Amino acid sequence: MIGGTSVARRLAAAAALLGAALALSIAVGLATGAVGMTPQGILADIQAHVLGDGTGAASVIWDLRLPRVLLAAVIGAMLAAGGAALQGLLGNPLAEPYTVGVSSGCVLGASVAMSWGLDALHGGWLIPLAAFVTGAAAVALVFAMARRAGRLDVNTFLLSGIIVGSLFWAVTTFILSASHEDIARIFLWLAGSLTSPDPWTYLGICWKVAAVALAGLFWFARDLNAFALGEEQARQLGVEPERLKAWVIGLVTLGTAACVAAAGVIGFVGLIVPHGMRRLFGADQRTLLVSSALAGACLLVLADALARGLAPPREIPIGVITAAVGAPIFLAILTRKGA
Amino acid sequence: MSDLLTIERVTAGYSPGRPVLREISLSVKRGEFVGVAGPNGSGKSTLVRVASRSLRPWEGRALLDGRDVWSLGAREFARRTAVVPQETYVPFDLSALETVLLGRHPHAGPLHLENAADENAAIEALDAVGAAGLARRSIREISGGERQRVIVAKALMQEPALLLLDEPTAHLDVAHQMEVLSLVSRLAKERELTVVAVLHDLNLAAAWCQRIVVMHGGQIAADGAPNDVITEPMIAHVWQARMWVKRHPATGRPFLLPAPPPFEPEDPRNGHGLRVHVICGGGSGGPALSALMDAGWSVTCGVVNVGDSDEEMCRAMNIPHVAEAPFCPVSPERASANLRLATEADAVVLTAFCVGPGNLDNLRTALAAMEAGRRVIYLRGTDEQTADFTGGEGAALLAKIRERAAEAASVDELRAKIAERAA
Repeated sequence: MIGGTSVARRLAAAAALLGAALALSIAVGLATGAVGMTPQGILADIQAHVLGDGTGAASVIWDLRLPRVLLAAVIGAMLAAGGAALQGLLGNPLAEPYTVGVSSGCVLGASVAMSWGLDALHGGWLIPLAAFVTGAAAVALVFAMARRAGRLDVNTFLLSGIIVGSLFWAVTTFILSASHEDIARIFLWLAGSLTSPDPWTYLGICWKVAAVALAGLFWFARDLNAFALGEEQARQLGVEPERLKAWVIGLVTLGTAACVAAAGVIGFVGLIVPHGMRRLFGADQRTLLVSSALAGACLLVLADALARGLAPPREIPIGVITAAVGAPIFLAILTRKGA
Repeated sequence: MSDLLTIERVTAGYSPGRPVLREISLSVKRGEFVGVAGPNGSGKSTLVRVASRSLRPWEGRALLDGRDVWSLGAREFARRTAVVPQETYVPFDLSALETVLLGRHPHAGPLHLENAADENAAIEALDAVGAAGLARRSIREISGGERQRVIVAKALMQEPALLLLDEPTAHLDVAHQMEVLSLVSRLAKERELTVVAVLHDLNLAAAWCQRIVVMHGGQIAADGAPNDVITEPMIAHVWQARMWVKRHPATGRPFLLPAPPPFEPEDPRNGHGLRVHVICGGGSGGPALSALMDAGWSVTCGVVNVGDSDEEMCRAMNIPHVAEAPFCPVSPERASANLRLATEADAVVLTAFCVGPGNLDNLRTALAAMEAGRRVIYLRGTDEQTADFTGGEGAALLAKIRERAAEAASVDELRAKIAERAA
């Protein structure tokens, strides 16, 4: 394990190593794209806007790539940390916002809100709000299905997540096909895409929500550690399980809603990243949350660079890339667990 | 001593209308080591769940130090009570050290990062349970017994006054069962812990607990010191099982042995109404007596001294027998009673026992029965079992008997020989 036994040292090691990796990934993300840029050109562009030279000229870096790369970082951090928290809560390494149905739930609200044209109102906040409402509804439904005789069966939970996810997808598709909106645009967004006409607005919403959600999850990380011994033993260690479940799932849903509103469904990030981080830095939820957030940010920034750089000027939806990488890993964990 | 844990008229269960505990009341004093025993489904674990604030009673209260456990917050309760479950499944690779550190959970705030002091305390706790060497190992890859010790160390880290154990040894082999219980009992003494342990195995409960509470149908069937509680009638009543209760020679505590299966009096394969007399003593007769009873024959026995395990066996199995006072030589009256039983029987079994002046008469009786035309079968034993302390007279008598008697090397052969003759 990197950083030895002490939690504090492992946290520091994770922050230093992965912080550096994130900086590097962001640099790669900024340099990748249809228009070639030198490092000097990138820095000059950013400097000009930060210092406010007043020209107001449109630029590739400031207006397009920088917000997009930062958005990828925020979404990657949120989804990966959300996956880590859900896995800790459910005691199952296969849980993540996508597999437990949260993402699909959020899609319904967000796409309905978009098809009604609500994204132009109230600075765009109505989309994540709508996403949160349906995401929470989906998760409540999954819980209701998985609760048997007062106990939450983990395998039923995952299965219910998939069923509820499909249900919400079907409703979404139905509503969209019945609407007259620009369906092609919404479907592209659904498949997971960071292409946005107004990336700074989405980034502004997303990072605030993610900051709240991530801080909240870190607050509950010690309780999640106790959950590793099971719900009953966690209670006997002083955790109120029902309260913890409500908070963690609420925070993950909140963060996921903002991510989905900005970039549609990006699956498997919350699965792959915590799996790897647990191997590198151990299973303590505090190091796991911090390392997953940073590594998730790296992963999505690089995946986005790949999406833009593989066949320019065309873009591959980023959700396609994460699914292509994530699905085999999901399968590998599933078969090794024998679950 | 004051009561630490009080269960007050508690009724509790999991589905409405089907209470598992019915108006149960119990109090545990500070420093006591109480075992809770009972058949499956009698409510033992439910009692622990009520006491551990995991299950809210429908009626009544569980009090810790005079305060309702539900009026204490989960954290406050966890600082006073630790629970060791049957088994712990951990989905991720936490190290043993990290697992033990979880015991600090109720004592520290959400943003507390464990420091060197916490780690030293955890290593001490691991050391106390003899698992210091496991600190860096994953909780998932150590054995069940080791994991249980780590969980006990975690419980110690909570610095509790009350330790609740819910069948802590259910999934362990015999060696680890002993190990975990002797560990808990030592720690309880050292740290003045009060322990309430659900123990499936009555022998373990009797060996380790000062007090045993027996549950039956959601109520308390017996409560007291092991020797008062563990009795054959109580076990027959609560468990519906035929067990023999003996005293452990080293500790004086009761322990249980399964009673031989009930015999079938009319088993036609074995011949009807066959009578067999067994001449034994010094504990040599047990296997033959139970095998013959099991065959469904009517068995008699003699002469055995009161206090001898053969005599206890006869009483336990209702075998008519001739008994002599403890450590006394066989008196002429007893000898003739013995001979009468022997000559009335269809066959006489002589077991291998040590011969001294006191029981020499048993060999004479066997010889007399043989001379009176009874069939005598000698059940062979080892040389040790047949040592002669009479200066040769016993050995000579035995040799004379064995010249003409049939012999069997095992109880099965013995039964076969008796049955073949009868048929």
